[in-house]
Amino acid sequence: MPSDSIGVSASALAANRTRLNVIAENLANANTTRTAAGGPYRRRIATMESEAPAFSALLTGQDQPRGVRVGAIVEAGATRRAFVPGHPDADTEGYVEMPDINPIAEMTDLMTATRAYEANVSAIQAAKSMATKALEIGR
Amino acid sequence: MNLFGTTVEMLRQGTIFASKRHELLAQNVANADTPGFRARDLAFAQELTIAQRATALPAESVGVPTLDPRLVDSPDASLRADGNTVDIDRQMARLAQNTGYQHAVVQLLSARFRALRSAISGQG
Repeated sequence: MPSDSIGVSASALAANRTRLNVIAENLANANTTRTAAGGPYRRRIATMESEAPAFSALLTGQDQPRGVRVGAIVEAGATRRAFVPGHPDADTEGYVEMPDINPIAEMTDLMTATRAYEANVSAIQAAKSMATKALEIGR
Repeated sequence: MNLFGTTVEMLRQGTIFASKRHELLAQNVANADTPGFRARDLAFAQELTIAQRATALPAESVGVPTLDPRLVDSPDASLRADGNTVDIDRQMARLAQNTGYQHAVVQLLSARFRALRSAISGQG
């Protein structure tokens, strides 16, 4: 059924949107030195994983369409020491712990996620076109 | 005597094949960034061609060949370190190709039914 494949593509749309949110968060917090957890913000990465097939599919040995989801959002970034004397969070030597965020890396990730999103939109459009065409049978 | 002949049955299988293949291709596109995901595809069109070439007879006289769409790993040349074998460009091309194939099959099916209807009503 094309509706199954639309579900698979929709799961990818949701996952990629989450990825975009995480990237936007990283860019927005490039200079954040205070967080709720204490210390500077750390770069986050959304990891992708395949959705597990339904239990019934495992029992019957049938293959079921597998979507994708964000498995976890992990804090993976380091911090860097920047020399900003007079900053409220500076230590006695004038250094501040800043998030180590590379805007170029974030922007390339942003483009990758955007293109992946678009590819899945195309897949949904193809499914719709096939379903519409099938309705023409016998017309 | 089969009213619809073997053509309709073959075309029917063609539409089923197209929708199943679309499912797999959509899966591949959805998992384009999933580490360790192996791209899969359905092999069927190639085998049909081989079967027809082997018999060298019109499909009408040999009956409907048993078409068994088979899952195959489609390992596009990939150098990715995360073990993912999805080549997004090829997948999108296959997606477009599959849509065109389905449209063609449906067109043929419609033509077949139109011909049948004009035969029944007795007027062209």
